[in-house]
Amino acid sequence: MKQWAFYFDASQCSGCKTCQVACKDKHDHPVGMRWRNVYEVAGGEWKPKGHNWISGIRSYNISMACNHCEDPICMTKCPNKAIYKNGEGLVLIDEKRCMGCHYCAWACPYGALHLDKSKGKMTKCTMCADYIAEGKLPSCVTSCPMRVLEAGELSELRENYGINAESFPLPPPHYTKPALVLKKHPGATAKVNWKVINREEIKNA
Amino acid sequence: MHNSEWSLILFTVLGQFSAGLTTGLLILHLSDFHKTGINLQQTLRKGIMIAAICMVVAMLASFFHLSAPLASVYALSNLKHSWLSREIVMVSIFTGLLAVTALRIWHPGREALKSPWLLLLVTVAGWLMIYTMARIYMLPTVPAWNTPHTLIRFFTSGFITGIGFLLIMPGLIQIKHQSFNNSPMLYIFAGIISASFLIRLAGTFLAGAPVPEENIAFVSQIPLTAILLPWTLWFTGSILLIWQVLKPAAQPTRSGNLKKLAFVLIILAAFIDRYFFYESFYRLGV
Repeated sequence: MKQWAFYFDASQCSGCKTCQVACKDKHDHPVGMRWRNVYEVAGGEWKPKGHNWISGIRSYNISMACNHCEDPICMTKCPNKAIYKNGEGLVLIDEKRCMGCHYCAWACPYGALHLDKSKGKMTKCTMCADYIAEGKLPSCVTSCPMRVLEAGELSELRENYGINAESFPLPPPHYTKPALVLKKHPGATAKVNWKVINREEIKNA
Repeated sequence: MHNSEWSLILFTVLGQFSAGLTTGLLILHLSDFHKTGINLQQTLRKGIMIAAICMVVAMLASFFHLSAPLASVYALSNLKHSWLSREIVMVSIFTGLLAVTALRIWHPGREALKSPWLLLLVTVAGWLMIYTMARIYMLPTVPAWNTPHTLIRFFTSGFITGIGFLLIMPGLIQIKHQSFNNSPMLYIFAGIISASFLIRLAGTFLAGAPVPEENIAFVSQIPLTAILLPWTLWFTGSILLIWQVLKPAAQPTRSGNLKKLAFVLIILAAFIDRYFFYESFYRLGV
């Protein structure tokens, strides 16, 4: 089975959030609903050196939507079998079966599921399945001015960019086997007090 | 906390209360009630009816959590993998059995359930319901809930509130039969409440499962009040109830009022504790 996947290069992402906006625009989302979020991560501290203070602050951005996992926890936990994987490896929601219990949203460690209040159904990134069917790429990918997002066959992306899918604040990949290849920001390996600093913006999106 | 979680607080606390109450009624049925002056039929009637009403209220409340309740017809589709599907089955079985028991007891001309088998079946269904309820929350990606403490919390909440209520039920509370005050049954009830309290206390040490801290983006900031308030209420309510059960005040009215106060403290503790349980939600990742 084909497995579509995202590639994200955290080392080059400027955090402009064009991907977020392009996604909202493509899917005509209301205010407050975002299938793709950009997490602003920062850590480190200022340290005194003689009479001066030296900055040890580091920061980077992580653009994240549904990773169309190979072993999606949202799908296994859904009591209604409303979440399924299609032949392209995309994790999609059958709206008719969804009762809006939020259980998938509790379980997903990528914060990918959101309630569409107008319909009372859970929704999530479809990787612009309609575009893919037409041979086009998802809107977040084509809109990125830094070209840090790509979409393609998971095995090909892994061949080109490696197998890493983890960087703070993302969870270890063994929980859901995300179809994601991620190039870490070089500063992300430092052992500092990393925090998501745009927490209020991201929370409950 | 999302607004919709209020319905889950009501659903889980009332559901567990009903299961605890049927457990108490089963113990009563199996014990030496005939020597104590208790009108078993009356107590069973009231107890089962209250448990059934609470379960119906709990089920109705659970629907308020759903954004599209009509699609709940598909909720049994994933019994193989989803604890939520299994919980819905157990809630339905428990409520159904409670209804059958209530009809059997309330049928005109019927004696109290002579055989305890039906009550045993209801009680076991209630325990299974609590088990499935707890397992829903034990998600591998939610370390705050994925501990044995969730199971302990749900079971002990049911036992303390259910049996606590049985001890203040009219019919038992005002009983003046001398042998009732010396009945081993009271020691059993007091023992279950004490054991539940102690297991709950010990269970807090199981709550802190190891968590890869670098992967937690949104750890909840739970204030100290969240821990101290429910514990103070659990402790005061349980001690007061056990004290009044084993060493009642000289005046029956005073003793009855103290027992009622103890139960109010216990039920408050159950609701506040469950509120903070939902507030403690955080998961790995984002």
